Amino acid sequence: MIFAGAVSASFLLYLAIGVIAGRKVRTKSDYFVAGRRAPTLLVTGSLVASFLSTVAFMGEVGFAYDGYPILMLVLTPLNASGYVLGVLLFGRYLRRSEALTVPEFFGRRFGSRGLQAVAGVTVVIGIGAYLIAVTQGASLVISGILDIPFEVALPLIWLVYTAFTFFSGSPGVLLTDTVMFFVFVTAGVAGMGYLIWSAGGPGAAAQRLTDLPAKPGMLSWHGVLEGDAAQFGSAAEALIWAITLGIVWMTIVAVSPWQSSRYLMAKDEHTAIRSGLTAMLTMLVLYVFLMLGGAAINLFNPAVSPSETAFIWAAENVLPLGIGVLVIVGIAAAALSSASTFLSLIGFSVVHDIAPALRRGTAAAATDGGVRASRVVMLATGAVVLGITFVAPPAVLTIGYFAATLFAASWGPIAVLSIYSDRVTRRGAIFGMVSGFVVAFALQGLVEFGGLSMPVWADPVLLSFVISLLGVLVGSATERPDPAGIAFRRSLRQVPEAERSRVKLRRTSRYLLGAVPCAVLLAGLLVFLYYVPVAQS
Amino acid sequence: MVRCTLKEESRHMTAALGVVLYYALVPLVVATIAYVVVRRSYGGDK
Repeated sequence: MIFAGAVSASFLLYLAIGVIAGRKVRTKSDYFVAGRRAPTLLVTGSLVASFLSTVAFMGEVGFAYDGYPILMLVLTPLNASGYVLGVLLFGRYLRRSEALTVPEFFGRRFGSRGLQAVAGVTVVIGIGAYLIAVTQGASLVISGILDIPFEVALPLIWLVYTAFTFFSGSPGVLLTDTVMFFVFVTAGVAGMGYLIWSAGGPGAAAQRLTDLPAKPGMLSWHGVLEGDAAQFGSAAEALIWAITLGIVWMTIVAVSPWQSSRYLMAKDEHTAIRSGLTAMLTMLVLYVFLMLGGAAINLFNPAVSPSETAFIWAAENVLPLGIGVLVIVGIAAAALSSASTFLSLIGFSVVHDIAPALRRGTAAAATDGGVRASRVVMLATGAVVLGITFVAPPAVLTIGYFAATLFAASWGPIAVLSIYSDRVTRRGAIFGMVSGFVVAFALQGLVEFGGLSMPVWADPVLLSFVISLLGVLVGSATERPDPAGIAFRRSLRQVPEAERSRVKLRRTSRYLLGAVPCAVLLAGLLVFLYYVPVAQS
Repeated sequence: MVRCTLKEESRHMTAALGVVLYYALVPLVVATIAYVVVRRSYGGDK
């Protein structure tokens, strides 16, 4: 009852924030990119909140619980560094272009409304699938907590995130994302910290985990390699998996529309860079707690099934009421924050990237700058997603992973080449995006849903990435680059005078130098929670 | 037998230390790259 009340209260809070933020929306720029006035805190909050969903708090915590906490910590630095590398290589140029959506950026870079529409379609299909997965995940969580049927929880969840996204667009999404970011980061650190302490502290917990018979080798870097719980045949296989996935997720964090689009809202490029750095460091600290705490849940119950529900089980059965409530609200927040970002991006792409290409003419300018049309499309899109989610069988992690990785393959090569090469043409960009998307869709689909087994080094996403690159090369070889596209690219490489401010530079430099004490803190945290306990066990 | 166990334990501890260093050094290296890029792009160091 208390869990239900707290979750309901948090929903009302998000709705209230959305309605208040929505009253200030006047133009399409306000609705799409929050007027490009967002400070570092809001951009960071939205970056992390859009990325972390039930996949992290249920799927990855479950993976740590299954016996791979340290292997996840091998993957995470690669994944998280995508924030900084992404903003340096792509995000700050995207911000400089002043596009309203990422597909618009591609369209302008290659002088092609067709490419903009194609990128918009990939957004609708890819993020649409991801939104379905996240909505399913959130509905399963809420139906379990509130003890209501899935069919009731689903429209409830949908209504909450659709309502505040509909009213407020990006300003509300930024605000609610940041509130949710604080809720789930606090929940993750406090909840997992408490679990480790109540298991006897890091030393005793490590000793007991080392002796756990069902999951031998759980605290070694490669995780469990023997017995029924083993998911890898050898340490080398586990390492290749972690590095491959780390690079894939690094690319997703760097270029995917639900991450890179956050930089479009930053008030300047320095804000975008500071946000990328802060997001990376926050993720690294949070994951130390999530993974080691996820493993420690075994000491209270080694048989939670499915393992994805381990953190929820701990919140309801081990944690004190206050922290337990915070964890449940935090997990719901992680799901809602991703869902609201996804829905807004789909709505924006339909109205701004796809619809103009279908109209084949210039529509009369709307008196409200297109905000009303955007809201109507957002609602219609949301209704379609609700319908599909009702009939699709629940497969939260499978669909979520499938959808997220599509963008690494189809957008990765184009995003980087669009900034650094004059040779890529409109046709090359379309070939690359379409071939990467189609091959990733087919291969990843066969692996996730068709039972196809690929060697761990031949991840479908990496293969699709190569195919996409080939598509770019072949397409570009058959056409001359558009001079306007080259001029646009070169203009993007010119640093605007306003960004050369000494004050801004000093502030960004201080942030970056702050990474040194943060790295020391991370090392200290891991020595305290992992190295010393393992050495003593 | 004892030597073999000690060797195994030492390898285990070296790997654990490697994870700790890797986890701290990757963000440090990335931030250092960012620092250089930012100073060159937005500062007067060109």
